[in-house]
Amino acid sequence: MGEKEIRADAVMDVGILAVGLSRNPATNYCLEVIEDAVKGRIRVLIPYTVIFGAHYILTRFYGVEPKEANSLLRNLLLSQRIVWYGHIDRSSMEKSFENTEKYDLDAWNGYILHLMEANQIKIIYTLDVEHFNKINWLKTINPIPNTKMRELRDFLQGKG
Amino acid sequence: MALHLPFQTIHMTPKTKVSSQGRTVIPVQIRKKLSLREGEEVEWVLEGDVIVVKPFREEKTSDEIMKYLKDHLVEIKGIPSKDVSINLKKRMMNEWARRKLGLTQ
Repeated sequence: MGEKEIRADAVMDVGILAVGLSRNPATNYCLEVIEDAVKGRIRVLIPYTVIFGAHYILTRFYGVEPKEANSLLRNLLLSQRIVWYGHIDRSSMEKSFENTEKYDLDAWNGYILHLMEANQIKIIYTLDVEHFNKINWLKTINPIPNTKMRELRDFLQGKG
Repeated sequence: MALHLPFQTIHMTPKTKVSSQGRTVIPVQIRKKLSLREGEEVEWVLEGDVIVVKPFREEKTSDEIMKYLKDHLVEIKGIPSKDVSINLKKRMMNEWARRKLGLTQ
């Protein structure tokens, strides 16, 4: 299989990175989670696919220059406390697909869920609570309080 | 990651000339294999009569990483509409991004 044993307590999703690495009303809430991960206070797994997702949001949704986004994300990738994960094979694709049918998720989320299942990780830091809340065995943590979430939505919608 | 890989691994024994100033070229196959980019630094180590050339990849402490991230937070400008010419694509992609940013609830 080529998969190594992974020890992590949580997975971090795209939104935490995109919000935490940009200036907005909720930056600090997400940056705090990123800092906890970088400093090893929480052992977080980040699949490389999530980094591509963060890059997509930064450049195509936020309008950040690729050079600027690359520089930020390259810097984050230097962290040795974060558990970086890049392995995808046919079997993990199949499991991810199964999750898309079982929970009505997109394939990216199906893959994240597969990684969590395979490695017994029960916590996900995400802003996409709508989808991950469908799975009852995992704990979804959105670090942004509801009032700030509303402020963030207004802020981002004003930029779109 | 060092450049003194066994040659059977990279299937070649490239040779490059050394200039009068001591400059030489890192063969393109090796640059590609190690993802060496323009502007990156390499370390030169002499092991007996063998020169080992290693990419110098910066290692930062957690504090340095966080300082960099905090000092370089990006400004959100919004997406210029010319960047996505097909409306359907724009709508679908934005939907994904919106969901990931918790904007769909």
